[in-house]
Amino acid sequence: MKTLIKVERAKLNMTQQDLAGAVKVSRQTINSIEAGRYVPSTILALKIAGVFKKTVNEIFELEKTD
Amino acid sequence: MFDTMENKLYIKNHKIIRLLPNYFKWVGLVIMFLAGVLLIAIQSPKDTLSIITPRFFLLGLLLISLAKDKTEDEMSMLLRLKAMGFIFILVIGIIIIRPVSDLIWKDTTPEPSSLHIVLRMLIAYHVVFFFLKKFR
Repeated sequence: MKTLIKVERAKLNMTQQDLAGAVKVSRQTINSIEAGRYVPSTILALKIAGVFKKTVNEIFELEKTD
Repeated sequence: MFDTMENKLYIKNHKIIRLLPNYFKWVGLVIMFLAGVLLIAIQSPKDTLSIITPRFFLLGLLLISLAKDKTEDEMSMLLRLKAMGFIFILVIGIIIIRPVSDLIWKDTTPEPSSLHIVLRMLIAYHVVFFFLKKFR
């Protein structure tokens, strides 16, 4: 799954730690999601999208392999 | 441990296993340390204390395993599951292979007790969980 978290974070000048704090997960979890090593649950995906005031589809994109 | 309604809903919605508060890690460490000191200090290997002390060491390890991380989230829950699953399969593998390896290497060491197997399992679980968290 492709994610635009890094781009959205950069737009808001947010660190991984800031985002992690906002959605109550560890910084390493955000790092793993950004790197594509971990696919978040629906609830976490909705929370992340909520921080950026976007829909989940705007933040996460399915790839051919998914 | 003393969950509010909000916490209960969070645990249900996030499919999180109910764990002990983070400070139980320290409780477990203290119990382990005291049991470790007692184990070293015990002279006679067959008295009641020498039977009870390893169980307290195990209890300490269990409390550490069941205590939450500072930031417990869905990914750490997945890593716990992975570590547990890996160790479970590894132990079963070792139990299956051991008689064969004993025959090949002519090892006459007696089979470890259930206490020792569980102790090793928990220690190995902590090692695997640590590395999974480190390199996630």
